[in-house]
Amino acid sequence: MQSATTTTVQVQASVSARLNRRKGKVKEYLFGYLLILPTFALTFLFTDIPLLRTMYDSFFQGSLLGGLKGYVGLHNYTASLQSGGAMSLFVTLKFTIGFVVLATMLGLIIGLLLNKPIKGISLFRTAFIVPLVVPIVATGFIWVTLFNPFFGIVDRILAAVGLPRVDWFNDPHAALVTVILFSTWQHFGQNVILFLAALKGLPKDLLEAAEIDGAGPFKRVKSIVLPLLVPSIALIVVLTTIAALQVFTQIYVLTGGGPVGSTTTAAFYIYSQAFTLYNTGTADALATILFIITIAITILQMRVLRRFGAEGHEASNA
Amino acid sequence: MFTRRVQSHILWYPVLIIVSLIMISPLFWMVITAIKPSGAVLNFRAPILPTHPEWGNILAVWKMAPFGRFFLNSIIFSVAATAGQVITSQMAGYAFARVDFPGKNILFYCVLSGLMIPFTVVMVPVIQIVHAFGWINTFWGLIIPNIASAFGAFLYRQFFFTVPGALGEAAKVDGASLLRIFVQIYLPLAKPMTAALTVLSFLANWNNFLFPLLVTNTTKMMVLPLGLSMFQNQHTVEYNFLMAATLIVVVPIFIVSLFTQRYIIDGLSMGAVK
Repeated sequence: MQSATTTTVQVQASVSARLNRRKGKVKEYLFGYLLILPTFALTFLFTDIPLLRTMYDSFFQGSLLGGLKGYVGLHNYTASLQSGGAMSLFVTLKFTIGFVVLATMLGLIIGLLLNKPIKGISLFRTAFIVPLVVPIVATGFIWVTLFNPFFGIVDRILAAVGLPRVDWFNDPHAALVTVILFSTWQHFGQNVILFLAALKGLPKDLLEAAEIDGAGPFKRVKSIVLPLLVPSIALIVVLTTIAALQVFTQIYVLTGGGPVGSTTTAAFYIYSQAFTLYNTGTADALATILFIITIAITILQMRVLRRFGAEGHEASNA
Repeated sequence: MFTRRVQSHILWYPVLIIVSLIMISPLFWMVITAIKPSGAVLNFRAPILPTHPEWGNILAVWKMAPFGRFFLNSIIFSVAATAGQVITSQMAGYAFARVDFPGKNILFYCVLSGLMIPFTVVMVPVIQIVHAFGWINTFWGLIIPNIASAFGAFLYRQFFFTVPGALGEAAKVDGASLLRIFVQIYLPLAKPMTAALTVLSFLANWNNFLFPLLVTNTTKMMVLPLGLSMFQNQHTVEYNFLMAATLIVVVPIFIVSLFTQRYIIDGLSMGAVK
């Protein structure tokens, strides 16, 4: 009898403990949902739904603010590719290759140069941060005056040393190069900082041992530093590529997409189709193509990165 | 060994100085052009340094466009968006790392999509949504779509994973509430990251051009970069005035970034190097 009572009490106690625990769990669940609610809701509303809409709308005739009109199949895709969309993808490709190569190489070289305990280092670092922190519109206007073919200092210097002057922003052959140069100047300080952070993380004893063994600075960089940096280089290439595929503001400010479309990137094409010509269908079609390309490139680069990452890891273990 | 080190430094310095000068010379050019008299700018043979600096250009330009209004709009937009991004990222990052709830992984991937889907791909429907809410030319339209950051949430999640869970367990035994554990125990640990993320988000919002370009079109609602770009449309040829306007926009953010340089460097390297 007595043992039965204790069992009942024990059962009751364990049930209420479990209930309490469940109540605690439910409370924790609610707390979790509440914490992620703003980020989740806003991402869902302003990224996920718009992505689905971009893809869906690309099959309809539509207007910017008047809703969808009728199903047109792949018409928007062909119209968009024929009306300069294909060229804008090609321009984006050229821009991306030029910008990524320049910004990564210069970032690496300056990163290596700055990775020394020299005096005034923070002053030099500041010089590389300045273009990053100032609005692109402002630096863009500065470049427009710097590179003005009539009074800009760059053409004045070219003329002074007897070189032919260049119409930087109005010559179809020069404009994209000028935009790439500007973007590199504007952005590569970020790569310098990333490389400096990566260099700080390298094993010091390895480098010191090499120095004691008589390896000069170039040999140390070539056979120790660079192999160890490969994962960082790969990551910086990925980040720079993603930035390059989006390039818009410098185009808007420097060239407005011209001359003759030679600097109309995919992002600028989407913008001008939707917001100045109100062809939202063609804009959505090219946006969908750009999305697929971006995802494909990102996945590809992540794969490569993971492989390099694994190799880099082995190298640092060895 | 000492001499070799000195030698290599002597080699580095000229290279560094030249490259640094190339980096900042456009800013000198901006100042020089901003204080040139109107007649001297377009003259190809005029001396590069102005002989009679016209400091009055800057004041004249300040009166040509409502720069005070642009500053105020930029401050309201950047402060609100940055505060929103930092707070919502802290909340979401903590929840994804340290709180248990069903469906966490799927929800995390939904948030992560915000990091992987470029804005240019979704901008047409986003502006249609903002318009449907009646938010064109309002601070709501500028701010609300920008108060969450997938990048920030991701960073905080990574950070809170590295903090031992025992801290929270101990506080729980002492009877602290879930909110209190988050706000008083875990959040203070993330202070350095919060500082860096705040500075970086603020800069990104302050310099954001495309989003305000799509959401606002009245002078009254323009933020600084947009106001500057509209200024150029109205004063096409007067390059000294254009540079004076640029100077008005550049100097304040330049000074702010000098003081917060350390956090900018921390913030930039945070995302990539773990």
